[in-house]
Amino acid sequence: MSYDVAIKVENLSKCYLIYDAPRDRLKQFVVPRLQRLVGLTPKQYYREFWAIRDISFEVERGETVGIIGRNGSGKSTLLQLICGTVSPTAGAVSTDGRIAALLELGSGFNPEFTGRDNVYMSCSLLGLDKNEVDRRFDDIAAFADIGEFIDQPVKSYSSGMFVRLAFSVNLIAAPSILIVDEALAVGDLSFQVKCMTALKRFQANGGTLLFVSHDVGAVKSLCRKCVYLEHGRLVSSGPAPEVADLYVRSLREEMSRESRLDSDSFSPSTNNSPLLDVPNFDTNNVDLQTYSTSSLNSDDSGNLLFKSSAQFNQRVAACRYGTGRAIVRYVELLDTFDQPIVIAEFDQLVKIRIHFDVIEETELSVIYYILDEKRNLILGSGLTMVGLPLLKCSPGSRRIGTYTTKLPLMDGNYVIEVQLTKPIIFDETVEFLDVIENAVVFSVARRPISRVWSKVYIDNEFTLTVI
Amino acid sequence: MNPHLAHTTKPLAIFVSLWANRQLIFQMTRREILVKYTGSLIGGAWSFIFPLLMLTIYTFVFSVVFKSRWGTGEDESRSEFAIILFAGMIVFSLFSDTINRAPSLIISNVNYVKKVVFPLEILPWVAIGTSLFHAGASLLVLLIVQLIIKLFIPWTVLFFPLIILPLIFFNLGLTWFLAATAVFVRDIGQITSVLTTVLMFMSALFYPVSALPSGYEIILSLNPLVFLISESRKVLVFTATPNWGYWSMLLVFSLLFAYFGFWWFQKVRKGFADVL
Repeated sequence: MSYDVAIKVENLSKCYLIYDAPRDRLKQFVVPRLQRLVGLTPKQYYREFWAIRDISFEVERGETVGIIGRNGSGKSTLLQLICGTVSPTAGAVSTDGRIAALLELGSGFNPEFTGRDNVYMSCSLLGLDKNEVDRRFDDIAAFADIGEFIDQPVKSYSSGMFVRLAFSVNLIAAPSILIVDEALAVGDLSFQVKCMTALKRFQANGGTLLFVSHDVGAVKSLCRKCVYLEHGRLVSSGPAPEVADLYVRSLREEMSRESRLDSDSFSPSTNNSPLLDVPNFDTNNVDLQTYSTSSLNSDDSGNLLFKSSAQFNQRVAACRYGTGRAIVRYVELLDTFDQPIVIAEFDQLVKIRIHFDVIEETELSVIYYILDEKRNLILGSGLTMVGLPLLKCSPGSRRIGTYTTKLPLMDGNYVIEVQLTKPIIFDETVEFLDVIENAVVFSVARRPISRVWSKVYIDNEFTLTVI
Repeated sequence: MNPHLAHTTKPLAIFVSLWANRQLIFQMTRREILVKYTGSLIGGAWSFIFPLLMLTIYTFVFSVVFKSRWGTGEDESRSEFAIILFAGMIVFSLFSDTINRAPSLIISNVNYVKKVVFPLEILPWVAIGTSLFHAGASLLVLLIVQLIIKLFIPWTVLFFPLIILPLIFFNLGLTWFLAATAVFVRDIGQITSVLTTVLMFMSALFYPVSALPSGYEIILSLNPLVFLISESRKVLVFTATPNWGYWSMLLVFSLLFAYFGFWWFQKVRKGFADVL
């Protein structure tokens, strides 16, 4: 290993053997040997699952490297392999220096012991002897800031205190390699700020940091290099912005794949789909499609594809209710070129496109809401709010409604909720035909010129009068 | 400690790891003893009350109810049997305590396997350290009671730590072996509890070896516990010097066995994280 390489991963693979029943494990131990003995082909009682396959990369000393990838892409296994708690099936990891891992904070703590005892124990696991811990103990206690609870058993701690103590131990123990797995999301705001400061200081002091996150923004801002995993394989590694963009692009592609999976074409003008009982458009029946072109500024509505996706259905099933007289088949968040969006820019012009089937003849309004992570309603609109009448729909008709709007939102994660409703008493009571609370999940990037600190920011003018 | 190196199986590694982790072992042992009494009013005093209570019960049941005699001579006092029994019990508990705990050592510490890099090989030391503490408390009770009843303590008590040395190494080996194997074969836990119960009756704990018909005597003496228990009685009660020849043999055997257990543990521990 060269002098300035802190972590070196070479052709690393990890395979888990999956047994359907515990006794298969025992059979696997005995039966194939016997079969080989009598010359039969050995039977295999397990299935292989490759959590990590043939991954190589290097982390230089003092470097901060982000690891990104979807759930189940092998990030956690990779970290466990680097920490040495799991041994590789093939390949090798070598590390140089003391590693502290903030994987599952406090997992080395014994709940019966006091905070003080656990600090001493965790530190000796990190390789510090008693004198070194004595010297650092006050710093650790001060950073965790849990007062006299330090001499109580940790089982009596609140979860915040527990994590704060664990974090403090790992930071103050002065490791040369620190592995952080989304651990920063815990603790109150002031502790988070303290952690960020401590991490920055750790970086500045030449510490090697391995940072795992779903938050592409955090990875971009904290890391110089980035490693992108998918299905246990290394997709790309290199400068953080480029790799992160690649990841976002692939997320976007996946979303459009979801819609393409079983979408069928529906073109109202040609009526060429044999599967559909396409209604005739009489003049009383106002079709949303027409609105899209005339009032909502949509492009080329004639060639729109009706989309319905089993994958979408499955994803939203748990957060859906309604009488079912009309059913939403698909919802998408698109940019002006009709490309799906996962991460929107601040104030980006977007389209929210709702594909729905009408089952029974009804009048309805198409409504969307944008909610933040804590489910606060931030933005939204409905037909009457746009100033349009309700839709009168005949059964069996397929519609595509498109709202075009802007997202003047603070950076963060958002959810689009979609409702098909029929008013019973105008502006008071409605019948919910179909409501999907998590139709689309997206995030908004930080506003480049100046961060937005309020939930919504709309244009302002400022004048100064000097008297 | 580099977590990525293969776990060494060198015999010396047993002592290297013991020395390197001495603070951790001490901390964990201390905590384990204290945790047992957290929340209780008199705390650590229970370590002494329990053996004292057991000794009282033995005296009542065996000396008063059964009127048992060990057969040491005409002047055997009423409490003699209980004291002899208790002396054997100290040694046997030292064995059975750790062995009964061995199968759950790794299984119940999944965090130490999967979440942190932990020197797992020290867990048997901690288990034995805890048992040794309790044995020490019992020994103290035994000596004080002897002092009160017989007005003297046999000077050969000083040999006792040496007598149990083979037992400690044997226990270590067995604990490493059982702890590692139980991760893969969970039934081990059931087997050991049956085994220690059987051994309790087969280790000449409640009777002197000389009380057996001659054929059985040979079979029983194959059990090293029988030797260790009778030697312990010699030094703790009868003021006799131990049989050093046989003892040295046992010591060598127990060291080899300890190494075997350690070797097995180090060989299979890579698989722990995959199974747990």
